[in-house]
Amino acid sequence: MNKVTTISLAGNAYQVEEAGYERLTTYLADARAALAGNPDAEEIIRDLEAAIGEKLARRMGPHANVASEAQVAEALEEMGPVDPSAGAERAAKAQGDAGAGPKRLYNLPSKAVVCGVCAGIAAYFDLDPTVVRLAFVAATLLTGGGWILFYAIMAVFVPYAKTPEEEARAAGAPFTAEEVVARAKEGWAQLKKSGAEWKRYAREEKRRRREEALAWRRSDRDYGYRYYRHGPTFLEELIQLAIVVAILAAVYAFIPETRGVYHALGADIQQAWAWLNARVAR
Amino acid sequence: MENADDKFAPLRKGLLEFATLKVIAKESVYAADILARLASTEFATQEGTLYPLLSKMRQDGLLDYEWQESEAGPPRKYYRLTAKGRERLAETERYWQRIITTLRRIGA
Repeated sequence: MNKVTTISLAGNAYQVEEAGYERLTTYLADARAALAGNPDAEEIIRDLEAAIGEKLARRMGPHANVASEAQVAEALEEMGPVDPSAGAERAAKAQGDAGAGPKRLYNLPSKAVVCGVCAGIAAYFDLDPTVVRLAFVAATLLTGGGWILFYAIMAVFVPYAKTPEEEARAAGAPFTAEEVVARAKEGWAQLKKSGAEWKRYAREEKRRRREEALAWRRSDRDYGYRYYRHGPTFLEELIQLAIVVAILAAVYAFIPETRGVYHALGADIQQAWAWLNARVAR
Repeated sequence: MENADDKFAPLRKGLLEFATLKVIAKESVYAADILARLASTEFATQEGTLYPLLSKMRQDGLLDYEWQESEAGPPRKYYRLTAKGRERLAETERYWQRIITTLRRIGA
């Protein structure tokens, strides 16, 4: 007597002896490992499952409805181990094309005049950095200085290439259409995920606040005094602000690489201020 | 399945795509048909090798498949060559002829 397990192969149910089930699990796990990185892995696995199912059905005959371990072993022997080379070759090719990974936009401090924003853009679009810089200067003049804000945003939010790999990726081979679609999908999935997370966080935060408010009210009643009812006081806010300023100042003082960003930001704020004043005055 | 000429395994492996193209070029076939067609030849292979290869060829745009109902069991994938697949087959045929000619001449 053997224990029997019901399994589904490519959507069809089969009954197999438990030892056979274990063999199948191992085979499919190996197949998955061999196909790791292959974009069609799931589809191939499904085809393999369907083929195993057909082999089992052929072996069981009309009067048996359970596949023995020996029958499973035979079927798997016929299938042969999954050849990883087809997918691996492709994955390696994709890697080779893009150097150390997909191309992406970096600021390039090693080639920088100010923060390396223009150098990064030039590398990304395969242009001469001087051309990009001239375009930026022209844009700045045309927008009456407003373009500098764009530069500042880029300087702050675009990551800086720190390692040689990152610098290589800054000018990596262009994407293929497939990669663009894959990345867009990935980005959208992440966005959806983070959106859901944010919603959950907001809900929890709301609930927490309500509970806190209730607790305060209760403590009011119980102890007869008001405790921290109106949120932080002006003084407390001032202290928080001071802490933030102190941290920013410390970053400026101890991490010299960031100074370019501060200077650029300072200049931009001055520019923006002057631009605003000019508008208001008129 | 065992082939005594293991020393030629890399050669066969490299030509398996060529052989598969030829099988599919004749008529649209189901994976098991391909295996059956190759079984009696030097290119005898197994699902574990063929399926990843078919998938790769499809990714390369050489072939295409459509689902067809089968008399018994679940629907099956029937493969056929795309225009690009036909082109690749013709190209491979020419190249193969050239290699054979070259090999003949080298020895002569």
